Amino acid sequence: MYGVIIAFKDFSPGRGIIGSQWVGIKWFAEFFNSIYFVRLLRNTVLLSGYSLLWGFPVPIIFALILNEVKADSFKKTVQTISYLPYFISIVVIVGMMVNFLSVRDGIINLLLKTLGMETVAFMSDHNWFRTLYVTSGIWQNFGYSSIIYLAVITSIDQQLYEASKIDGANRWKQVLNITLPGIVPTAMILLILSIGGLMSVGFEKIILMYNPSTYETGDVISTYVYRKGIVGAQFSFGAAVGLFNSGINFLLLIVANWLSKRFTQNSLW
Amino acid sequence: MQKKYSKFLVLIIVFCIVISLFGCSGTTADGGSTTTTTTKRVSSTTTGDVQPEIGYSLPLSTTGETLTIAGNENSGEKRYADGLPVYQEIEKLTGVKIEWESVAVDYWLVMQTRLAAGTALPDILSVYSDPVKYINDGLFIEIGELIDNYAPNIKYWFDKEETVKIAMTAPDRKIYTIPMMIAEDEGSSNDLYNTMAISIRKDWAKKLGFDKDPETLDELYELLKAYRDGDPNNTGKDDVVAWGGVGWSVGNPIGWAYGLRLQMDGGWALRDGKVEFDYINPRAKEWLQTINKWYNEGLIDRDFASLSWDSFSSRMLNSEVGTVVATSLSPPIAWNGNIIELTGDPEAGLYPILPVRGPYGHREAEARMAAVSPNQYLVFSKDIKNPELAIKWVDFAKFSEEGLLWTQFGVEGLTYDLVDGTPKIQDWVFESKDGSSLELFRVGALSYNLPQVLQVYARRESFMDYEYLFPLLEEIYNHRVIRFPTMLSASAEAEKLTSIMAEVNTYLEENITRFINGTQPLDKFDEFVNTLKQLGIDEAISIKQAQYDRTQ
Repeated sequence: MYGVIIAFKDFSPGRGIIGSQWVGIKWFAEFFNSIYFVRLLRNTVLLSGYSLLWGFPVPIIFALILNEVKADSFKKTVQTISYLPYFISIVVIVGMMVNFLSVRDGIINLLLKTLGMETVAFMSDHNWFRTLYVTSGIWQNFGYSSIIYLAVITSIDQQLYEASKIDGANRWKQVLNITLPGIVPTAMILLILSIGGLMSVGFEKIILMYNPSTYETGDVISTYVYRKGIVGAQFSFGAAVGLFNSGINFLLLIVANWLSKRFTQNSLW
Repeated sequence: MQKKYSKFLVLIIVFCIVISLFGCSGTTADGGSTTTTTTKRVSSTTTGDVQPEIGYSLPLSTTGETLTIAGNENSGEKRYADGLPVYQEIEKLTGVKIEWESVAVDYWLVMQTRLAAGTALPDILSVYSDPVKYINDGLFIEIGELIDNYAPNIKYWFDKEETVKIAMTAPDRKIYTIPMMIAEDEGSSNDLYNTMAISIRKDWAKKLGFDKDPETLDELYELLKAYRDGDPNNTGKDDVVAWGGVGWSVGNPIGWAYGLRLQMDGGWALRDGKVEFDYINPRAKEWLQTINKWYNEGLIDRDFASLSWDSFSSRMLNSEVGTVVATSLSPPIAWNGNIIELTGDPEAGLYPILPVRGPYGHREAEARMAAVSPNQYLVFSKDIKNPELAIKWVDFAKFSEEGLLWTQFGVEGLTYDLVDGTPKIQDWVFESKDGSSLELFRVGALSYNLPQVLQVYARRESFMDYEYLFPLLEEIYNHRVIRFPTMLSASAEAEKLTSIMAEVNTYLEENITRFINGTQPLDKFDEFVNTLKQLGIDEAISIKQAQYDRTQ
């Protein structure tokens, strides 16, 4: 881990970590002064933020709904189908997306054409990038994420439900007052952990999905550094940006933990 | 009791972490010491009072010494490590055993990681980017003296072609690298495939009523429109891509008609001793206007930015593409076989045309290779134990006449015969249904895993099927503009250039794509040029100009 020091040095493999020249914050300055810095930061935060905003409630709602289903076999089937996408490789998912959204022979555009509408070049339009990224992420992950919530729900004391029935609560009131509060501690912990990973937005998926016409919304810190790093084998630069990323993540983690402690009395530490 | 156990556990964990932290420090020590040893050895060879022997004689080693070589894996089915006929013979002749460290996919990516680690490097390796950074880090050894003393063939080529020596001399005036050299010999077939050209479906053109090849940009435009509208592949569907290509650079070849060199050297051009960057040339605006028009009229695939080469080639093979840009002879060799099979028409296929003349009279095409292939070098790593042996081996296998007969033509009597001293590839190789290249790969010939001198007269033999195209190809060759010269940068320059170009390239890719598909209107072109200047393109141009001036 002490190798992270190369972020402050001009690392050359021949001279090793100790022998490389110390340059202080040169790489950080170079990164902050890049004309793309603001855009990269914005895209990174927005993509992660939207994924969190839209992706966080879906597994919870799904778990709540599924919990209401009485037929056991149906419930199990739905659950299994819902978390199958999680196990599909991201490369396959993006491949399917590119295929379905192709202007020439993609199924979506074919549908648009038969309905008499204009075809849309989804993968080349930067306005669509965030939507596609977030939606495909939700589809892939909601089933798997809902497992933990379902597990928590089953551990809620059944006596609470019985007591509430005696008090005259209907199903909806039960969900609101028993199930939901039961999930909140788990949800909060998971939320804090997700916020901690805000800056490390899914690099592989973006690399697969983006192209120069979607850099405006799709280019994030990690993909930019990937391109710059490959061009010049700039290890120190990559390390510096990685350190910056981790630093921000850490800060966010602390803030989220404090907020959670203050408002819901649940926290990581 | 419980407390004691948990304390003990914590101690063990901390101990493990501390050990792992210090496990990494071994690299530094090794890196330092090995460099010193190698430098000492090289200097001792050259400061001796005894006259070092020029050249060498076979066998090179009688003690069965080993050399490790890293490069791209063989293109055939068998790997170098499996023992290919050509290299087995070379091993017998030289007495040197080769340990192959070849990589099939993404060799350079893998090698860069190994170079970053800095230890256990192979003796001989190929480098596919600017080597100066690694030279400054002490990873490669100087070979100038070795070449002068032990490699008569390499020395011959170095001295023959001035651009070679210039391109290979590092900023500290020493030589660390051997390049891939193109030898233009008598009877060379360089002219057959060393030019990039536009290839069109001539059978479709004839069917649509065009009786001769397009000569001007406007005529090409008319042809593309006909491709789009005339359903030349008889499918009844609107599925023809008139102007083929993928990625943000899809329109770059049309730049040739405006005298812009955008395709091969990323926009860098040398005219009358002056270095220029063609993306900021005023004619670039007109070029973009043309491409944007073509895009709006549906002549370019709307998905061009996100299309992959695989899906594009499958469309080509499906007889759905009207034009493609490649080296002048590649389309017939690579794709026409399948297209003919699919359509059942022996006339079908993509064939090259002369460069089209643009509005200012430019009629150019970029050469594919320069006398020195840029960004492909052979180096000796600092871990090499016997550099004299290595240079002799490289000189023999890749640069001597005898060695090249093996590595370019294969096994005498099997894949080629010597007819009046000239190697002639046997007929069965050409008639093989797997293609002549694959047959040669099988015996270990023709693979360019290491830089060598590309004696191009060999290749003319392999192309006799297309003899009828030779006059056209030679004429295309006459219109070529040579590549931007390769120059090695000093490390401070290199660093500045890299950081400027990294930003410039991102900016270019994004904005050219947006100009083409119209998301950015072309009146923003001046803003585009200004931003490039803000990013430092003028500084990059003056750095390259200084590098060029140094070589004159």
